[in-house]
This record gives sequence, C-alpha cells and structure tokens, in this order.
Amino acid sequence: MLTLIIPVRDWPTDRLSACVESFLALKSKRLTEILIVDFGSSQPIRLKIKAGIPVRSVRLKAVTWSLAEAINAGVLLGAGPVFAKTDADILVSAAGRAGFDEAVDQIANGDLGLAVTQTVDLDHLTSLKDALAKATKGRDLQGRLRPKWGQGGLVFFSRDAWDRIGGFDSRFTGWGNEDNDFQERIRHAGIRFAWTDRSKLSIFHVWHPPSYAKTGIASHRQKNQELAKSDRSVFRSLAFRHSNALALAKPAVIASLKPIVTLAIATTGRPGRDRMLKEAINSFKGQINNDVEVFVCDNGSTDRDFAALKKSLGNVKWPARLTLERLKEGSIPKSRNVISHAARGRYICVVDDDDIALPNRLADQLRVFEKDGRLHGCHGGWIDFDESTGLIERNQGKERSLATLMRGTGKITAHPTCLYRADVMRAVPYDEAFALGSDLDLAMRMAAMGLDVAHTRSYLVLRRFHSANVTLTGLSSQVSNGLAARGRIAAMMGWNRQGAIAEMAKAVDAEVYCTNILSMDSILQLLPGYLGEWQLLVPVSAMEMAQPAPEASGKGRAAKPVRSLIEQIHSIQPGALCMRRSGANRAVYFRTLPVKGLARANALRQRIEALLDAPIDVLSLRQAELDRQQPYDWKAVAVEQGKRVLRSKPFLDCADVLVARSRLVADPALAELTAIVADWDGERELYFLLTAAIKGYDEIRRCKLKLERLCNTGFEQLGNGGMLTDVTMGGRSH
Amino acid sequence: MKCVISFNAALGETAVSFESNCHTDTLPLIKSALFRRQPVNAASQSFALAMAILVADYCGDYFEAGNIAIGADYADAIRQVLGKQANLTPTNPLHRSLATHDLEVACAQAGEANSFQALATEGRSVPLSTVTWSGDFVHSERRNSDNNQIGTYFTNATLLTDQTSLSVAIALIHGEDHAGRIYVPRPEEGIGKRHGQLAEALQAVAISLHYVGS
Repeated sequence: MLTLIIPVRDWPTDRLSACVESFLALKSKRLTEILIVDFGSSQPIRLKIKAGIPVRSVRLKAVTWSLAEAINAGVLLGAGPVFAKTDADILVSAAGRAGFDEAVDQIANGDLGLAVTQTVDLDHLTSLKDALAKATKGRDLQGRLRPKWGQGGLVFFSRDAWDRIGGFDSRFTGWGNEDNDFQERIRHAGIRFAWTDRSKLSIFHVWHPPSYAKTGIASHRQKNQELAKSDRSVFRSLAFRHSNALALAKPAVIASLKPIVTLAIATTGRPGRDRMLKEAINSFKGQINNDVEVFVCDNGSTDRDFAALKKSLGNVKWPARLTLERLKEGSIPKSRNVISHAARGRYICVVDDDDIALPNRLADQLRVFEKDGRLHGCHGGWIDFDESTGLIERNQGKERSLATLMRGTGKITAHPTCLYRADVMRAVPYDEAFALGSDLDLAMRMAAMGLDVAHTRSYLVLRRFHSANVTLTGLSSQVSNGLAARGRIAAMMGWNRQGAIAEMAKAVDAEVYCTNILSMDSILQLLPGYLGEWQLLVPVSAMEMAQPAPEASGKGRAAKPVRSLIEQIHSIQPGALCMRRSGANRAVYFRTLPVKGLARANALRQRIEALLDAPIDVLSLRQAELDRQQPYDWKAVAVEQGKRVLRSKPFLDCADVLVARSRLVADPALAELTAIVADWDGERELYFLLTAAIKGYDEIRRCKLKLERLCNTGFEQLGNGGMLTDVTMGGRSH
Repeated sequence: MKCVISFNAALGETAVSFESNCHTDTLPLIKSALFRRQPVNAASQSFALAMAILVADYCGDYFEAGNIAIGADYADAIRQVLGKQANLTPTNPLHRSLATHDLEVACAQAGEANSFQALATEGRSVPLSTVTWSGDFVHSERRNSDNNQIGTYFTNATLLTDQTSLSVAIALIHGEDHAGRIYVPRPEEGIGKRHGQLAEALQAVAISLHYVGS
C-alpha cells in the first residue's frame, strides 16, 4: 500500500541505514516497500539490511541534483498507491505506528491528499547511534521542534494528488522550496491537507555538518526561492529534466501520467474537415514540449466521414496520445462535455477543428496562471482569415465579465481561444439544450458563477472563415440562442439590475492590447499554402534602390533600368503599375495579377525579392480590393477665394499618369506644383494630376494652358470643396 | 479560512470572499460565494454558521467570519460543523444567544420544493417560510438546462458543498437568527455521517434540522 521514498545523492551510508532501520522498526503493515532513489551519486549505494519488506535502491543517471525530480522518480518507480517521502537524515520513533498508519489510511481513503509530520531537530550532542537506539525503542528524544511551516521531514501523499497537480516541480534543483511549493499547490488545488498528530507520530532530524558550502547548494536555494515566488500556478508539467527516470519506468506507468493540456476538438463531417483538422492539430506541434493529449470527438458524421477521419488522424503521429470518440448525435456541446469528462489533462484547451493555433498559444496561456494560480481559465486575441480570399482581420478581445458579455459591444471573446482548468469544465459543463451558441452561454454562466477568466494580452489563434463555417451556416440559430442565454442571466440577476450592468459594461468595454503584434509577413508564414488569392506588390522605390545611383549628367539612365526591372518582374508574373490606396502622391507599386494559393505567391515573392534584394508585399486579393476601393475625398480640397486647383481628366492607367507627370520636367516650377491623386469611382481606379492652389485669373489660365499642352490632356478648375467652378475676372474688369 | 463579506448595491449581490489565513486551509474552486436576488443579513450569527457549513471541507485551523462576533453557542455549532477544534474569530464568549423560534424555514433547490407540500397542512404556532435556491442553469450531471428553475436566491455555492448542506446554509441565511426548525429534502444517498453531524451541530443553537421526504 505505502511506498516510502528516500531520495539521496552522495549521502553517508550510515545515516541512510539508520533512517531505513528506524522505519522498519515501526513494523507498520501499511509500509510495503522502501525505495531509495539514488539520484546520480558518484558511488553506488550498498546497504546491508535484513527486512521483511522489499528495500530497493534505484540508481539514476543525473548530472544535476534535484530532490524534486528524485521524489517524482520514486513515485514513478514505486508501487504505491500511497507514498511517503522522507529525508535520509530522518529517524522515526517506533512508538509512532498508530499515527503512521492513521496518516496512511486517511490518504488511502481520500480524506486527505497530503499529510505532513512536524520534525524535531536533534542537537549535535546526540549521536546517530544513540538517536537510532532510542528511536527504534520508541523512546523520546529531546530536540527543537520545527515550526509548522511548509513541509517536514516526512510527508504522505497519494499518487492521485501528486498526479493531479503535476507532481513536484523538477525546475527546483538541489533542495529547498520544492516541498513548500508542492504543499501550496496541493492546497490551492482544493486537495485536503493536514499535519499529522504529533502526539501519535514523532520524527527526528539527526544533526550533521551543514552541506551548503560543500555541495554549492546555496545558489540552488536562491534560484529556488525566486522560482517559488514568481510562479503561482497550481498545475505544472510533470517533466523529468535531469535524469533517466522515464527510461526505467514501466510503459504502463508512463502511459498513465497525465499531460498538462488536453486539446479538446469537437468536429462533424463537412467539406475539407480532415484537411483542416490535421492543420489544427499540427499547429500545436512543438508547443510546451508536446506535453499535450489530443481528444477528438466526432458528432453526427456519416460512417463514411468517420472512417475517413479515423484514417486521416492515423497519419498524425506526434501527440503521445490521440483519442477519437464518436457520437451518433450531432451536438457540439455534448461532444465537448464528453471530452471534458474523459480528458486527462489538467487544463482543457478549446480547439475548433478549422482553426490554427499560433506558436505562442499554450505557453502564453499557461503563463497567465503563473501570475494567479486561482484563475479558472484564460482567453486571448484572435486573427480571422478567410480561406477563399485570404482576408485577414485582427481581434484583440476584451476583458471578460458578466457586464461585458451581457451588455458589451461585442468581439469580447472567441471560444476557440479559451483554455480552462479541467475541473472547472466538469463543474460548469456546456448546456446540451443548445444546439449552437453553447459557447457564449458557457462564458456567461462562468461569469455568473464567479469564475475568473483572464486575457493573455496576446493573439492566440488564427480563426478560419470558410463556406462550411458554423458561424455562417448557423447564424440565425446562434443569434436566437444568444438572446435566450442572455435572457436567463438577466432573469437571474433581476431585470431591475440591467441599467447597472450596462453602466458597468461601458466602464470596461475597451479592447485589450495584445503585445505580440504580428506583421502580415509573420501571419502569412503560418497560413496553409493552398489558401486564398494573392497579389504581389512591388514598390517602385525598391526598384530604384536596387539600381546604382544615377550619375549627375544622366538622369535618364536610371529610368531605363527601372523599366528593365519592371519588365523582368512582369515576365515572372504579369501585372501593372498602381497606387495601393486613394490619396495624393501615394507610393507607386507594381501590382501583379492575382496568384492562386499562398505557397505559389510566396515562391514568386522569393524570386522577385532575389531580383531586387529588397522585401516586397504579399496581399490578399480581397484586401487589395478593400484598400483601393476607397474614393478620394474631393470635398476635403481646401481652396481659398480667388484661387483654384487644376485637375486633369482621369487616367485609367497609373502608367499613363506617370508618363504625363514626367513630361512636366520641362517646366520644373509647374512640376513642383503638381501631384498625382489616386481615386476610386465605384468601379475603377482613376488617377489625376492635381496642382496646388493657383491664384489669379491670368495665372490659372496660363498654367492650365501649359499643363494641357505638356500633358496632352484636358484640365478643369476646382474650387473649395472640390466643386467644379471656373474662376472669373473681377466684376469691375467685366 | 477568512470570510470577507461585501455588498454590491447596484447588482444587489452579496459576496463572501474566501481568504486563506493559515497553512492548513484548502482553497475552494471559487474565490467567493455569491448570493443574488435577495438581500442577506450578513451581520447575523446564523450567517457565520452558514459560511462555516459552506467552507467545512476547506477550512483549516482558523475560521474568521467577517465582522460577525460569534457567541459561545454559535461557536460550539461552528466547531462541530468544521469537525475540528478550529480557532474562531472574532468571538464574544459572553454573548449567549440561541435561535428565537419565531419562524420555521423549509429550503430546497428550486424545482424540488414539492417535498414540502405535507408541511403546509401541519398545524404550527409560528409561520413557515418556504425558500428556494438555484445555481448554475445547467445540471452538472445531466449537463442540460431543461426544466431549470430560478430560485429565491441565486448562488454559486453549489461549487462548494453538496445540495443538502447548501439548503441548510440558505435556510440559516434566510431565517437569520429566528428559525427554530429547518426542513430540507432528505439526501438521495441517505443521511450519512456528514448530515447527521450537521443536525447535531445545529442543536447547539436550538435549531432542529428535519430531513423531509422518502
């Protein structure tokens, strides 16, 4: 029933023997195994002890001493299911059998998760031999009682409690603080903890010379203290960083260890499902050292779709554990509840089968719990992308509260960015009465139940829009369910509280700032290669930069190479010159014809970038359209009385307007006055030449004539607000 | 465990935050218990007793009940509820008071108050007040909100303790220091050690707890 773990490293054999002998002298029937974990000692441990129970020594290869990992190794390699850990300089009084058995029973029954025994420190005048003689006879030993703070020299815990929180944290090296950290996490996890009855169970710490300086433990302790202070999380990854313990454990034991995160995916058969689901799962590959399990619950698919899914998931090799469940009934909330109840992870990460996680997702989400271990979940920003057009929209999200969810202005949270404690998901399940919209309902119920869900302050997910998207196909149902969910929360709060809730929502409705600002280039690296239609935008300025500086005497020489470069780019992918947005004197780009698929767009981009030795832009076709489909605001043209600006007739091609503009070189003063304006008339891009305001009837007429002659097109006069109005001579002159 | 009581007037919400005041506390899933829809007398000793019932599984060696001075009798009851010789604060051992028996309270989760029908026909010298409570709309085992009803009180304390204990706690909150008898539905699994102890504890302050129904 009980495995006693004694972790040691280069420890004197006489003290270790004394420790083991004192526990054997207890003659407790609960004690079924003593396991000495030798964590990388320079010499193997050889004990000469005759015992009625197995006393095993396991020698691990380890360079760095970590008491925390040594205990974890003991749990991994011991029989259990109840464990006690003691230090090799501890003796237990033989009179403590009743207390010892009581503690083991309480742990075994589940009344407690952790029991700790207060230690008595013996002084240096008490020799090991004397102490052992008295302890094994159950006689009292005089010493100084340690305060009830943190852990003691003997702790009892269940394998279940140890596994629930992720065991001792092996980031603690040497010794010190790993025990206090374990105890704090146990009680923060809601697992019962108690001190054993000192009148029934006594343990003694045998004096020995301090080992600080000898082993360089002081630096470990300082680092450990900082770690204990900085990380407030309750659930941690059970990692074996310093030893080969995992190599020695039985495969069944390793398979039973819980991952820190379960990726919870509810899915149903729809076009492209298998492809998208694989992308969704693979986007988590490499995050938090792959300490995840994947749980996919198919609901409502046909046999054929399910068979295809099974085959497709068979090709996903990287997760240590991938579970596929099937529900005949098509119900997203039911699927998610099935996952919540079967999940082995300490956290449940909500994953939609068509979304892509950003590489920072799990690390950022777990980091939030380091600041506040009592959080119930977290969410973050998301980036929408349209599979067919490649259009991208960033959403930072907002603070989640009952007020913002009830009366906020929307875009507060996205369900596939959420990560919750597994116990929270079991206590507050999805409402299976909702076919759609159960995610919003869950968020509101969590807020109503006083559960805290924090924002990570980062983007976490690329959310895909596609033709089979639930948000699009079930929009009306989602809206009506959303109203129903809000209605019952309002009824619960009392309808007379709605005003107060609205006021509270206003106060906290601002968007949260996400610190991981992702450039377009970064996002494009993360999207699938087959996605969208794209246009390459090559700035003409980059072409000019790519050429040797023109000599003073030959400005025309620079233009030729630019033209040559445009021709070369045109041969890679045809296109035309343009300005990306409406406005005056915008940068000029060579815009290619649309390219299908991001992978092909990226390949073309690389070729052009190699040619120019400068970066160029890749933009989704739809985004490029949206960018340029903004009309120029002619009403904003401000012209004083008696002045006019001259505007050319529209050019339909950017190249034409550039040519016209280049002809003004003959009159530098006029060239100085004239800008190119890009506009959109609702159907087409238009380009104009537009002068600065010119004063006086004669001057305006003179400039107009000259412009028309040089540019070979008509010009018209614009007054204030962009009105077409010719300036006239003063009244007296008429 | 330290209970810090606050009231949000705009939302009509009484919150009892649970703060650890000793290393033997275990921290519950929720940081605070919320009571909505009805005002709560957070100054009564019964409220302190109700809080002790809610945190019995989590409280370590010290129980602090906001600013409620706990008299000797209620202190006895609270210690029995906590199942250990917990230190209580603030206390006023000279203050001896028991339930005044001006009222009887029947309390159940909303939708389950049918078991009290028989009580209505019984003759009694003091009024019977029937009160209901509700928590999350979705039943955690059925995972469905069908047939959910909203009770007189809304509370999230369902995440702290079992249904029967919560009914007793809500009855104490509702009856303040007046309820001499409390009726709650009999637990489905029968009256175990926990609920038996609860009945004994309430006797220390002259409250008799009755489990109603089959």
